Amino acid sequence: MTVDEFQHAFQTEIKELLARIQRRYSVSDAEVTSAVHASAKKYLADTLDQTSGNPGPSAESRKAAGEFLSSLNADDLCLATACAKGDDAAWEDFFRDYRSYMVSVARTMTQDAGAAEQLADSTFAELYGLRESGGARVSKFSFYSGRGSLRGWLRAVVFQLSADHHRQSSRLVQTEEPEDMDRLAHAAEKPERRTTTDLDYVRDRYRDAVVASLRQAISDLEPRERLLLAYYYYDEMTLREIGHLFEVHEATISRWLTKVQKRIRKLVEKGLARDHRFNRREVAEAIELAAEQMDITVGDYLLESVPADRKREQPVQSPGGAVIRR
Amino acid sequence: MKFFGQVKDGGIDNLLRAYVSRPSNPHQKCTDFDPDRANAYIERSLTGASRLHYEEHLSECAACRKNVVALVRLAEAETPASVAPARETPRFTLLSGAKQMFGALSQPQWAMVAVAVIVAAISVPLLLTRSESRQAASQAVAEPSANEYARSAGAPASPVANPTSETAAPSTFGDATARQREKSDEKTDVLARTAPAASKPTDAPAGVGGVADVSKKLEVSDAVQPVDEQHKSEGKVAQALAQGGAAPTSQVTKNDSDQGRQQQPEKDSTQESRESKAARADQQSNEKEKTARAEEAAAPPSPPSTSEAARGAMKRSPAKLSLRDSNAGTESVRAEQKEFKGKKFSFRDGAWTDKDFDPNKDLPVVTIIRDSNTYKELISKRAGLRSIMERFTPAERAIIVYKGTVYKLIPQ
Repeated sequence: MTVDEFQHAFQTEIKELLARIQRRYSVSDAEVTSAVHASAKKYLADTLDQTSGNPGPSAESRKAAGEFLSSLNADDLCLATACAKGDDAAWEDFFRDYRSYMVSVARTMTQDAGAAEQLADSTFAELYGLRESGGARVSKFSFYSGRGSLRGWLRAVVFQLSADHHRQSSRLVQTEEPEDMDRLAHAAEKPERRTTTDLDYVRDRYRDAVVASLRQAISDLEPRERLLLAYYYYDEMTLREIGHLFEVHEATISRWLTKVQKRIRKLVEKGLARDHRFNRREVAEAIELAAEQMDITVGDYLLESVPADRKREQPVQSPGGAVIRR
Repeated sequence: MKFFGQVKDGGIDNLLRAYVSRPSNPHQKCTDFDPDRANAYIERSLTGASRLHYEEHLSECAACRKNVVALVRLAEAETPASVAPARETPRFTLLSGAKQMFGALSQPQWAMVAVAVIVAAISVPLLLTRSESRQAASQAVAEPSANEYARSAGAPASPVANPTSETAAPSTFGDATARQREKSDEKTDVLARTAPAASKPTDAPAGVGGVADVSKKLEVSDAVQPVDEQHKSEGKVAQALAQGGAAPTSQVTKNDSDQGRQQQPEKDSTQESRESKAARADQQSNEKEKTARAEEAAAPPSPPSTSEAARGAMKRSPAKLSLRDSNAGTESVRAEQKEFKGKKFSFRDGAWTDKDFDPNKDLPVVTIIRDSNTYKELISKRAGLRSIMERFTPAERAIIVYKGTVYKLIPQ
């Protein structure tokens, strides 16, 4: 759907959005509509696809578009569009309202005043658009959709630039850890020390069976359940942090986690019984043994892999063997 | 972190802690982190479908998820003031408002607070209602002391024998109970009352001490002379109310004194209207029976059914004494006096008061409504009293001590 089609189809909704903008700077209706269209293409693709080619939008499409447009941060979008265009007044406003905030975000990430100023300046440069594409200056502002707040978007931009700088300046610090987790899973599957006793053989057999069943069980989960487990176990987010993302209270997250755990247990038990012919007693023993062995490995791994300043917050092993979050 | 009242599956928990990484496509490496989408997700601005798609991506992409987690922590590290966008247009809907409001209640500590508030909202009005009834009761107890002028001097302390002490109760009990009684008593034969009988609130064991007191008076009256059926039922109701109370006597006494001190001026100002109500009630009552009671009231009182010590204690109540003293102070302001038939009257508290009247003496009190049948019958039988009563105009009130009885003459 082109900008003209979009404007024609949702004329009323766009007018309402334009009416909401308090200060337009030098941005015209067409430019705002173009920015809104870009945003809709990104987040409302299905609706636009359904409307495209039809004489008019369906009631459902109109409702979805209306809700989407009414939820946009119109003023922020207009300011970003004006800044991308190079409007001086818009830049003045932006500088006045967001400069100190960007520096504070940068300081939080760099923990250094000088580095923070440098990061903030780099971000400003990106926002203005030093790079050119096809002879035209490309402002980072053109990527702002108005879906979230401009302030939050700036935080994410500063963070991204910071991560990029960090990655470029130091190869010693790893910012992504999936490989580590792969190594972890590998370590769990194949422990380093091999023994030849019958007991160790049984343990290894149990362990392999449990790992296979667990992998299958996790892959059988819904994406949101997997995300929940990843947030909690891998990213070590607190229940409150996860609750914030899922828009529920932390107690609800706790219930969800318990529910997912129960489901995984059922799936693992079923898998062990079905695929490995374990009886009920063997299923229970296998899970218990595997949990004990793998937990020690994980505790060691986590304490080794995290940066020094976060070690204090990592799970530690209690004397009884249980994992405790501080 | 500890789970909320949930039994954590230790085995599975440990397994997951060890294993959860990227179950599928472990070698995916997303280099296309989108700050705009990530921020919209964190700010919960993504709509259903796009949110689900992004969550699905996050469940698979550890790199993006890691950035999102970092951004969440970064946002939370900011102070609330700085988190609020300076130029953000508020997007408040009814649903979001309700979510916000009731979402807070889902937190255990706020849920407890909410429960406490609800309990308080229910219990406080109940307590206040109960307190009001106590106040009313204590007001009822304090009222006799405010109307001490209605007592006669020199009579033996046997007020219980004096009948019909109930008459003025509706007018002196300023509470709802008394008003209810007043309405129902419009046709009740209530002519006279005995002040001592009304001064025994400390015997009442209940929080509604005043009502209990009334019930006791009723019982006493019943014992002395036959009372009409309505009185009996009244007594039963009052007794039931008295039994329903639970406050200790000392508390009631304290309330009595406090409330009496506070409410005396108000009572004085409204006394006249109340008594006129009582007068109307009296007029509609059985006149003959009233007369009989009035005559009996003049007779020597029988021994009290309650202990003299209790009544004595009540008479010496500091609150009541102070009230009486203060009244005396104000009464002396008026200099008007009348003298006839060897009796002197001074105008005090809106009534011509006999010089012989001593509120500290427990004399039987008979309330007479002017021009009522009882009044006519009384003056026809007692010529001496007639000569005195006729000296007062129909609108005047008078307290007359005549042959050991206090006659309270009130206008119609």
